[in-house]
Amino acid sequence: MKLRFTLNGSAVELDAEPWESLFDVLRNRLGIKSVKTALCEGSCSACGACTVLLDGRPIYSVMTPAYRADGRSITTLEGLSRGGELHPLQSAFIEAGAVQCGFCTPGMILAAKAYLDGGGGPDEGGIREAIRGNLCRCTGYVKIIDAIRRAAEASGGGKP
Amino acid sequence: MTSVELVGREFSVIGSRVPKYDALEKVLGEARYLLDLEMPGMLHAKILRSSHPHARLLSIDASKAARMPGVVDVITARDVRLNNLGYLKDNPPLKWGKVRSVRDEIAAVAAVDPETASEALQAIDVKYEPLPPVTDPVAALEPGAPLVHEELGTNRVNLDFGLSYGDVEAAFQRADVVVEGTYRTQYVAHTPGDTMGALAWVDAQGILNVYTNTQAPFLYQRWLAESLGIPAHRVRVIQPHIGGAFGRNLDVYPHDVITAALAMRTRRPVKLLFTRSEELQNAPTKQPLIARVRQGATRDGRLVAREVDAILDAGAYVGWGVFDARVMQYTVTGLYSVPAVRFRTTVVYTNNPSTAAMRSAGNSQITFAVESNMDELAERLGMDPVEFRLLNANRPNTVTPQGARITTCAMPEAIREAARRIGWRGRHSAGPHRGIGFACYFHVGGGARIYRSDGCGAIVKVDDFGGVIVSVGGTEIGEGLDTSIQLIVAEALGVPRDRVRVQINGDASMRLWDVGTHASRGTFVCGNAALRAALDARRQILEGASKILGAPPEDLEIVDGFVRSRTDPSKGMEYDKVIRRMHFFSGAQGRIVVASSFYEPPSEEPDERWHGNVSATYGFGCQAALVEVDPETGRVKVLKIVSAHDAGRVINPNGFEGQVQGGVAMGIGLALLEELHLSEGRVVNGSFEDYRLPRVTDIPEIDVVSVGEPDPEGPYGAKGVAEGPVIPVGPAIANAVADALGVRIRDLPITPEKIWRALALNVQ
Amino acid sequence: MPFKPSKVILPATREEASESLEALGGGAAIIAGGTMLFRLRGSGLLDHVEALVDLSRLGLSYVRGDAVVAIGSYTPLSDVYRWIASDPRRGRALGALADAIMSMPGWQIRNMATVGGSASIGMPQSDIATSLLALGARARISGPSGERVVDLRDYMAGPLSPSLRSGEFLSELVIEQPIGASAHEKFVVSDIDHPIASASAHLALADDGSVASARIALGGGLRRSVVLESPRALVGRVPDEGVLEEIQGLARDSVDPLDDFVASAEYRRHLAGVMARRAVARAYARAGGSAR
Repeated sequence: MKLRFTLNGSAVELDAEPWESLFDVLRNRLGIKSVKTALCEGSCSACGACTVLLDGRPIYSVMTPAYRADGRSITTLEGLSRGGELHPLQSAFIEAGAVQCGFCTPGMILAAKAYLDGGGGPDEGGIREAIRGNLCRCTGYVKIIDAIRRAAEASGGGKP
Repeated sequence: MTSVELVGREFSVIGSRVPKYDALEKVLGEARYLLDLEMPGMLHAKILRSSHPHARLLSIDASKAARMPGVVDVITARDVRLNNLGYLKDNPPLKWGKVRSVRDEIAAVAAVDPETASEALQAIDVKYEPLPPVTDPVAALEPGAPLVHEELGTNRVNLDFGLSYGDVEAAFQRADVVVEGTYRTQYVAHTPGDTMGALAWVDAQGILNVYTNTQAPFLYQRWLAESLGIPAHRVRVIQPHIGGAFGRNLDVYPHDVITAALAMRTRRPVKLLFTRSEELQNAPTKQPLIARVRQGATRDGRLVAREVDAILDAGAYVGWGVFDARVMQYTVTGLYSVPAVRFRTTVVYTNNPSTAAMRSAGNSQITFAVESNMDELAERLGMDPVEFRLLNANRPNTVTPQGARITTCAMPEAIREAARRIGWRGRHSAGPHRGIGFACYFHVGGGARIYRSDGCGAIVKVDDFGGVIVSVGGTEIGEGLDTSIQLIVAEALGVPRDRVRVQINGDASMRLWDVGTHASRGTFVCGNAALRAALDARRQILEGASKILGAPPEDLEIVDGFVRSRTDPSKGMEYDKVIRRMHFFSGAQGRIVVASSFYEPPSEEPDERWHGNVSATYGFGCQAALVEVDPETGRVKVLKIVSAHDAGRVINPNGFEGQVQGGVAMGIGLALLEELHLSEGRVVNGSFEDYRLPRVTDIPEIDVVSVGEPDPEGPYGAKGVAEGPVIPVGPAIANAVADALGVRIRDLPITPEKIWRALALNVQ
Repeated sequence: MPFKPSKVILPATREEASESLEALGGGAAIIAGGTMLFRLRGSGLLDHVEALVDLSRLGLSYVRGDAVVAIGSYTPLSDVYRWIASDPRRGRALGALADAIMSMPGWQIRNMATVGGSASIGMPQSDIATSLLALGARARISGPSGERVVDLRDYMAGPLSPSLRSGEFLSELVIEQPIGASAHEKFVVSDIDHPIASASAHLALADDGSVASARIALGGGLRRSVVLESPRALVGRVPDEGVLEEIQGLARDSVDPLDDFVASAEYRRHLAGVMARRAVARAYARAGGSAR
């Protein structure tokens, strides 16, 4: 089936099979390598490594049919920095020491981006909820929460 | 030159918060892991594993699979000569004659894509004669038990880690109180983001190249070559970014050898990558432990004797997990001050999974047993558990019965800090349904002599533009070794941090030897190598500058990239300019700046009675856990963990805190959540959604504390701390639950159902 | 592996949808969020699927209503949650559904899973289904001969096999008269667990604070869901300690729990009682009631 969608702001047109997932298409056809997978065929542990934003909302790309992208906009980590300038979340993750092995980092940043774009603030509860669908085996989550809080404070987000 | 001369100075970069060296690539999504690697013409490999935990292999017919379109090669033990793997060389990469576990590799296929490879596996016809399996290590030792390796005549593995110092029996006689208990820890999966695998190919020069996420590339090179029967200098190991490892990748496994063999036969790149369920079902696990602990103390609270009998289920083939017993030895003989100690081990073959070291390599298991028992002993003595630990705490500049030479040691300070920060007011004072528990650890902090050499080599080159390249043999698996190296070299040279580039991972043939990232040794050993090389490079620069500036080298220093005289401010020059002068303006005396160093820590391999100072320094720590238990359901909520560590001087605060927080999270997994359930040797919760990994909802408030003094041997005074934070969590939580409810769970994980049952028994 | 449906059909009208489903019969799989299908695609269970039928074009993503709440079957759970949470009265009455949605680990799943998909799983482990059962939800089914509305319980005939005739599909969930308050309790060890035991309770109170009507649904690791309609122990009474203990006992006696490596049947039975009691207590508190 022919699909048309925007990927990180650019128009994309391609053919996809009904059984292909959005993950398959992004990784294998469009060279988007930032999206990771825990290769959980037949199950899902909500690890979040395959997270992408679909019209700004975080979803798991491994479990989403590719054809669902038709007419929509997809954002991956590659779409965050503009002209060499880092997105505030990317800077915050670096400064807060929130990156260790880095495998979970793309999914975490996207989940956080959706949270901030949706008006999320620097409150611990909201931030924890934002990354509840993302697993990290290295950091214990503390510095990831810290990074998101810093970015939220910097962008002045959150409800009064 | 040791670091002790550098103690007490002001530092420019050591101890400051800096970005992790590779964080930028990672937040941009540019890091490439084994998952991401592809090569033109690449084939995909899959392995056919046994359907039975124990069986004779009567026949294997792979002819149909070999004929399938898209299948390029199929191999069984008959097609390739591969030498056995493992310390005891008991593990053939491809099995023949019999299979001893459901993980046993029977055949392998290389095909054009993973789906075709999987389909081909289905077409391989294997005839088995099932044998009765043995899946309990105690039952495996009974007469008449099915034998896993029949040629040995027994299921008892010929490895004895037992030792004894002092007269244990007499000491127990002297004790006023003796407490005995049996403690168990479970099968656990490492599960980093990166699954296991390799991508191998033979290049035009006939060199076997392997991309893999090993943590020990030089050992991998050797053992892979030995199994394949090729010279090791014709093997090149390349490490991509590694998405965590936690000890799983310290060995060469059958799938590594199989992938390489397929690449050599097909002369195409061959990639094998475990899916998550393949990993949960087939990757080696953490070593489970059954330990009977007996400890005695006199009424004044002094420990007089400790005896531990350990049963280690090795599974079908002896892996590095069995050698967790070596680490256990040091805790049995050295955690707290105990004059008389005895450790006996029984290692057993069964048809269960084989094991690998996992973050702390035996210390989390044995410390759970010993520290739970310590608490029970304190209670029997009627003594406050904090006071009891302080009284018996390890002290600096002492030697344990096993010969561990403790230099720096701030265990008492760690205990006091933990007690203070958790708000300890004595037993049963934490509030309704709440409890506080403590546990300490004693762990290596400067290598563990797992191999004849425990060293690391580093090269430092400073180019004509002032660019510094430091190359180390160590491996970055996410722990931040790359950043520690950058900090050490920048500090030692006196140049801005951003001038220093670190070459770590990548092509191991371009780096100097290192035994591998494990035993919390990276910053200590690789850091010392880098430090020495950097100081040598600095010496070269100052020698060159001395001629240029007309001042003796002792008078010169490099500060922020500027070489200057300490006494005459008019004499100075940028360091890169000095180097260009040395190189281009010295005629036949032209020199460039390059230095190398191989640092072998001053430790010793244990003798035949296991006695020896196995590490150049030791790390200590204490954790306090505050928990709340729901008595109706048994559910444990961890409210707070204080984690106090003597890691010497903290070189990289973000790295230190990250290791502690991540280690505490992993410890919570071991204590409350994680377990691979086996049925007849097969993992039954083998999909990622059935295996409970710590999520953000499981993480309490974590208070990270650094205590202690700079270590005289560590680079800038640092000691290793990567594994420490995992070790005490289990016993601290078990002790906290006992404090809250008066029930003690002696086997991990501490599940709500276990607590509920224990409470019900109490009521009866 | 071969989960390889040859096509995806996106019908533009309900008639087209029914025609496609009738024509394809057992070879069709209705795909909503896709979480179930794409999760199972490597398992072999779906190898018979020839075509996916995606009803996204039928305008089935909505949640509205006051005296009667209608939720389109293709509505993502996150949208349902936001709608409920935006109004305090809805938040009380439909609290069980909101609780169930927020008990799922993360926004990604809530953005993908749909109400209809969750209702069609047909297993007691679905928190969404358990909460809908307690709310007395009904299923509106569209088909070649028009629409019919059935009890959700009757729709949920078996695991992944809802009760549908040829050419039919679930178009809407209906909750009538969402008054009073409801709550969902879920017992897990890890956030990722299927509920070991779960309970949803909906209470409507009389003016004197006693329970006028109640419905308790039990789920989690059970052989089948259980719905207790207006249990005698509860109706006409204020849920004090004694009443709550009776509810706990009633729930314990009503379930047929599974026994596996996650939990024993005995423990699950015990938890069923505890969850039921807590769900009732919390629903009552949400309703503004207070009992000694």
